Amino acid sequence: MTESLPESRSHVTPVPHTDVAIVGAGFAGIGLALRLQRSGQTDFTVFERAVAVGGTWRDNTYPGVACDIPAHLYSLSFETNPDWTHVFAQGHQIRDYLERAADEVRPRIRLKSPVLDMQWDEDRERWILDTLAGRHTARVLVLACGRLADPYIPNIEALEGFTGELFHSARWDHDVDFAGKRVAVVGSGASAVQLMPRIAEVAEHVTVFQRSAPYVVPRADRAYTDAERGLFAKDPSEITRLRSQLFWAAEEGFAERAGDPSRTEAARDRALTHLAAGVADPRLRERLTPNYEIGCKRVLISNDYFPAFERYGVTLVTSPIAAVDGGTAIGADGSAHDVDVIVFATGFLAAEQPYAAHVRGRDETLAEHWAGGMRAYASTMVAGFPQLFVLDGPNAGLGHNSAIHMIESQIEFVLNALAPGRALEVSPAAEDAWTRQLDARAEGTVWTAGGCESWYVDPRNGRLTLLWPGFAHGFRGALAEAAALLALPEGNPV
Amino acid sequence: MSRFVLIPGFGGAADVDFVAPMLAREHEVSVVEATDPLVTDADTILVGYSLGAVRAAAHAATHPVSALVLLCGWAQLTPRLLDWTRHAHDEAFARHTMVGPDSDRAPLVRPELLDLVETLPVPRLGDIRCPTLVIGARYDLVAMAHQSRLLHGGIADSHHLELPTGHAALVERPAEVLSLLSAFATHPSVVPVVAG
Ligand SMILES: Cc1cc2nc3c(=O)[nH]c(=O)nc-3n(C[C@H](O)[C@H](O)[C@H](O)COP(=O)(O)OP(=O)(O)OC[C@H]3O[C@@H](n4cnc5c(N)ncnc54)[C@H](O)[C@@H]3O)c2cc1C
Ligand SMILES: NC(=O)c1ccc[n+]([C@@H]2O[C@H](COP(=O)([O-])OP(=O)(O)OC[C@H]3O[C@@H](n4cnc5c(N)ncnc54)[C@H](OP(=O)(O)O)[C@@H]3O)[C@@H](O)[C@H]2O)c1
Repeated sequence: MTESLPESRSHVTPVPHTDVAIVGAGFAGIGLALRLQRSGQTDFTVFERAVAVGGTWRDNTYPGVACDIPAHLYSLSFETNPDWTHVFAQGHQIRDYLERAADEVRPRIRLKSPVLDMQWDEDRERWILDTLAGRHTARVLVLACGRLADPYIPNIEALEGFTGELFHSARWDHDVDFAGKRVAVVGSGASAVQLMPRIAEVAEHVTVFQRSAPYVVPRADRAYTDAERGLFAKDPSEITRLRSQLFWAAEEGFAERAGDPSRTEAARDRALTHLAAGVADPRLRERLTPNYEIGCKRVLISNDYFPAFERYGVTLVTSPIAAVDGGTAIGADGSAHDVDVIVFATGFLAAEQPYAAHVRGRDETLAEHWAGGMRAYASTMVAGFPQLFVLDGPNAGLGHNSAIHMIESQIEFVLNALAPGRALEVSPAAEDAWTRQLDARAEGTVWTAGGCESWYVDPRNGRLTLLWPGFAHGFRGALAEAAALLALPEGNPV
Repeated sequence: MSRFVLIPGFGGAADVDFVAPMLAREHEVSVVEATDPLVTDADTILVGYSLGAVRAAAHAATHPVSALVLLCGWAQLTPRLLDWTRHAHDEAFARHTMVGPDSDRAPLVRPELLDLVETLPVPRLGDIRCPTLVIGARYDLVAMAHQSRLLHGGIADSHHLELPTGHAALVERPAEVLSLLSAFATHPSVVPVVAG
């Protein structure tokens, strides 16, 4: 549909209008696009800044990148895949899966189209989107920009003077050959744990800068047999059955993080036993032992991270990297390490999402609205930002189960809200009530009181803004109830 | 916040070692073993599992409760079930016959509880008036899924669901059972949707 804005009438340049604009083509954007199209709503456009779809799985191509949720569960329930080769998928397999899934909506995806500015037009009750590829308008704006999409590199003295090569784990430089190189890996989170052993096996030497030690548990991976894959292909109900089994087993992981001290203890023992099995030297083991409660940060799964230290003689520095001097990386503990390459596995801008500064609602930007931390009604709708939905945003992440289940719960919420007779705007009171309830639930949990710093928590105020402090099935239930409250006939939208 | 009384099955309190503490985050919960005295009032949500379900049903037919959940119970004591209780003193046999095809869990069986099966009174289902959720298990070789359907048939105000587990539903899928109990506590008249 094409329509002109008043100011452009005389120039006859029509501004394209779309009913639903979706910003981002990761799991969330593609998932919503598929659901819309399959329900017969074909007036939507997906804007993606990159040259391809895939989000996380397009950007993260570091050696060893893989998912830590079983592949059949880490897939869209309405787009299952009988061909997963292993229990856990490699990053490129997930990217291929998303590429294939996107084929169905390909004509409605605009690649190389970063959305630079999004502004609510109060008079015409629509959103104006300025993209690199021109202006668009939309009745509904869906932010599916992810929350681990923009790499974070810490401030390091004299980094610009570094004489070697450096890059972030999510912006891997595949031209760099690690053979014979001395490499610094900065960070010890999920990305570092996957990539460090792969580099250590080829590099001359690796130094890990660890600010805090991670809990790591065994990775129980295996290949699916031909018979299993054949059965998945011939009888899709087998996939449904497996997904259900995997989902409910993963749900039990929540008890380790909240509510059941005996399970927390068992989980901690499991991780520390795994550490003991992987590292012979007691002093090294000591330095790889976390000093906070398990679950406070993401619990990592790997069979080769711990053994890599002794197998490849990896140097462990138990302090952050503080400065660079020519070709030397200097730890905050003063130790100096000559290196040819620095790999930053230092995570992402999470608490303050870069897109938020570019979304202007009735009176303020989303970044201003979120100055006290991200918040949204049903983790999806924001007061003062009519006809807008945020996917995978405030309190929509999980530590113990699949992000895709959460994203699908939100997609369902959006489809419900877009049905006729629903309010497309929420009151500040509704958003407050939702936020207060979550803040109260987060208080005293392992995420806020577990003695660690993590990207789940907004460092500006200590609020748990990125994690849902409950079961995944609870999120789905809560969103279903929240969507029902949007029904208009009673005249009392939330 | 509701008041739950849970009656476990052949494993005793170990059967509810996930569900009881997690439910207790939002509700008042007590665990009453199948041999313990059972007290309920009109606010109690009574949950029974396996032989605990039979005890719970019998109790609900004659005592006040606000709602009832029967998980992997039975309406009749069949010769097959009696036979199973005799063989189930063999630990490996019990373990293998109690779980479904998708599980490698090892449910506990307390021998003295096996012997109780024969002595349990048969519940008068027609006297149960409260909203009831009957949950059977598709691969239940012990009680058999059909027995849960009969419980559903005999209780006036009941809903029926089936889980894809063996008799040891509470050990195989504790989180799913928890979700059903929580949903039922909030809306006893709505059939919980099995998510996942
Ligand atoms: C290395 C890594 C491993 C992970 N592993 C797991 C795992 O094992 N299990 C799990 O549950 N989760 C995992 N996650 C979390 C993962 O991010 C989510 O599971 C999921 O992929 C998020 O999908 P999304 O669509 O919300 O966001 P993304 O995949 O981040 O997609 C967002 C898209 O929006 C685009 N975009 C952003 N801003 C704009 C703009 N202004 N204009 C246009 N386009 C824009 C981006 O380019 C991107 O393509 C992992 C994350 C990372 C980084
Ligand atoms: N397969 C998987 O499951 C997988 C793989 C990769 C990523 N992910 C997802 O993506 C999220 C982000 O993972 P990530 O590993 O990329 O990032 P991350 O979890 O945020 O970890 C960043 C790491 O960098 C460290 N760091 C930050 N600044 C530093 C400094 N100045 N000096 C030294 N270290 C510094 C952090 O230390 P502190 O710990 O002290 O903060 C942390 O160890 C994960 O939580 C997970 O959700 C999943």
